[in-house]
Amino acid sequence: MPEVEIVGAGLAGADGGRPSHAELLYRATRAALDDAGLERDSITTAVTASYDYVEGRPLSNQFTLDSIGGTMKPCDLRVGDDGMHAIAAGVSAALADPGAVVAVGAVQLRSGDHSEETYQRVQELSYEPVWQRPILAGARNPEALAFGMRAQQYMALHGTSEDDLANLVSRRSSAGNGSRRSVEEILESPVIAGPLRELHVAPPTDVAATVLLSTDPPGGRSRGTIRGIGWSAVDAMLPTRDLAVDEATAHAARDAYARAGIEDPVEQVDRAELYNVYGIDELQALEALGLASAGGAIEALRPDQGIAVNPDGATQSHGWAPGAASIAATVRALDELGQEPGPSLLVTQGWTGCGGCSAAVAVIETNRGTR
Amino acid sequence: MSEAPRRVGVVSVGMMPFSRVLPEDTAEMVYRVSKDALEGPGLRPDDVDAVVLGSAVDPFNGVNESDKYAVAAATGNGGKPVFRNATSGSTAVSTPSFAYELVASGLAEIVLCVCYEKMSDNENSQKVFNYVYDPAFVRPVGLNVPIQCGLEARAYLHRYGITEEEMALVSVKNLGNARANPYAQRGREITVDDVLASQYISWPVKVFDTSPVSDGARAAIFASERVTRELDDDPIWVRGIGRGADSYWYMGRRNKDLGRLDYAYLGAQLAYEMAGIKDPAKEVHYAEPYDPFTYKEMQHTEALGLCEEGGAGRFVREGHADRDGDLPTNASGGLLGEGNPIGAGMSRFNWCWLQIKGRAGDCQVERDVDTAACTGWGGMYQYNATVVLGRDA
Repeated sequence: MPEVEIVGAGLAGADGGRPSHAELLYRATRAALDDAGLERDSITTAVTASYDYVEGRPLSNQFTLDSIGGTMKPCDLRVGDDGMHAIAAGVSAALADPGAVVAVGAVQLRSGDHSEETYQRVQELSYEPVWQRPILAGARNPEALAFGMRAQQYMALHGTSEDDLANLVSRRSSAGNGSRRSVEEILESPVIAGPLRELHVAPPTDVAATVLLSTDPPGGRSRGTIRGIGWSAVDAMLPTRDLAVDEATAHAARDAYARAGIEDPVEQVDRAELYNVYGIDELQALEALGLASAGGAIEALRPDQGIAVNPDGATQSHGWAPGAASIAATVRALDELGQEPGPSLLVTQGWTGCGGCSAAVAVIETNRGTR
Repeated sequence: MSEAPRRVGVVSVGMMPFSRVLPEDTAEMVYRVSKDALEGPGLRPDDVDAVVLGSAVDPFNGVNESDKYAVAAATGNGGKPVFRNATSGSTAVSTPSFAYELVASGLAEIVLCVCYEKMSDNENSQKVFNYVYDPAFVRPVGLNVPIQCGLEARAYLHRYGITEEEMALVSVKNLGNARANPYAQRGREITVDDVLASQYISWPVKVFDTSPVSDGARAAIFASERVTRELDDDPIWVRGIGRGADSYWYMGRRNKDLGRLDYAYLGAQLAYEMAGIKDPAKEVHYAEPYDPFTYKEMQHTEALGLCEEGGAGRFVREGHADRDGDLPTNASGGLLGEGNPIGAGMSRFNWCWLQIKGRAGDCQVERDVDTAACTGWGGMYQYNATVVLGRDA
């Protein structure tokens, strides 16, 4: 596919304050504009990702229109999917309107906007109402149930132990800015969806992230080149799915690699940023991306292996902000890889939907000496 | 420099009847219209490269990320690329613009676009709409769509000297037109007096100024120029796409007079620029302006440039918009007559295609139609999407 440049990238956290959705996304977008050396008038169009139920308001992106790109522009499009899907939609918009500057952003406030009880109820509403929802009504972490089943099936099939999974989550939790959870603490925490325990789950966080995309970057600046993009969804009904594999990510990776000309991801990919909200999702995504053999993820993720996977811990360290976390991880990776001397090939992934039934993958080549 | 965007055609549409309550669930509705759209040009689900789903807001359907349960219904459970777009009412036309981009970008050759709404799954759509509003300043007032429309309609009538009788003429026209539409929920012969005598919902908006609550879905298939020409020897192209979005905050809007929809004028302007249309009143032959309320058709007719600004009352009164008029609008019955399953208001787009193809059945207008325009309207009265379809100019 024709390449799309990331001309600016910005990130904003709550930093202990109580910003609104609009304020936080404004700060991220302002940071992206500053990064690109642009002003808001430069933004042609925008795509946002948000979830009505999680936000507690229908049409949840309308509040952030002013923040993401300004008014009296076509900045209305919203994917009800993950931020990585929004990046895919942004790539589509950029290619369909060459030269346009497309802002792609997402914001999520988890800490102060609503209670955890409400969030659990929202998770329940993600399940099909007749057959599945009644089974999990009142569960402590309804979303985790689907991932618990994924973990059960995967671990039984491949002989992965609870220690292995706890080890991975513990390592990730202490990377970056995270607060370390020891293997013992994880394994002693209450079971929420066997074999998943309370401390397997990434902690909630508040974050907003924005990237600016264009086929023809103003001023020639580029933070990275999107060489391939893929996204996919399989049916959300759990009984129709093979829960031992991450089918959605596998389909998305197939398309992203084909567009990027990636034939041997193990050899060609330098770094991968994968969702790891429950730990099991990182294992399955790694295999779906062809970065480990089936059942070989734990081995491939041992320290000192060739590919840097979630080196700063991803959601286990930085926290889980549905929708926004994948764009935030992309921005962090661009910042870190920008400090390195040579080009790197970065793969970023995010999932959404019941039990991760939908996923998106981007293949990004970072440029040399851009920062 | 990058390659120019590719030309995009529309090779078929998928239809089904609208109703206050349909027995089909969301997945079944999506399956039905997808199948209808695929069968027209003889396509199979495997031929589709990507799917774009549109639904106004999740709470209408009662399931968080309701689209995830419609994925398999669209083209099977093969893991195709699927997006879901949601911009409230404008979903009806902004989702087709999403599908257009996927083909224009070169990321897909054939895209299935499906919009749906299962309004009967929620008990109180106006309560859902109340949650659209800002929780601190506006929500506690109890504002909902009819109340806000009353404010907007009042401003529009005052600004341009439009009358309630002229609003009523739109309802008479559209409900009458819907009698010829086999998919319509509310086709009937009514008079201006019937409309004026109907109960006020929020002055000056009355029951018959308002579209009904509906279930339903619509689909269309977008294709690259190569595929379009292979499938259709009378190709219909997406000639123009435009969208405009104003601030959520009334006090932050460019034009603080609610009677003029600046963002709708912007959407039309962008679409016409892309289509190379300079005089829409002459170059557009048919239109489906978004009409959840009578005055909204009038505002969108003006924003589309089909008549002068403030002239929609005269335009309707003089019969220009009638099915046998010189610039007919909503010959399908529009949302007022056909029904308003909000995302599936994409029917406006579908009827434009059907009119150009000459396949509108008893709704077919008398004049020749080579170019047609439709609009969608949504967000918190802040989004517009405009599409211009047509044969080669």
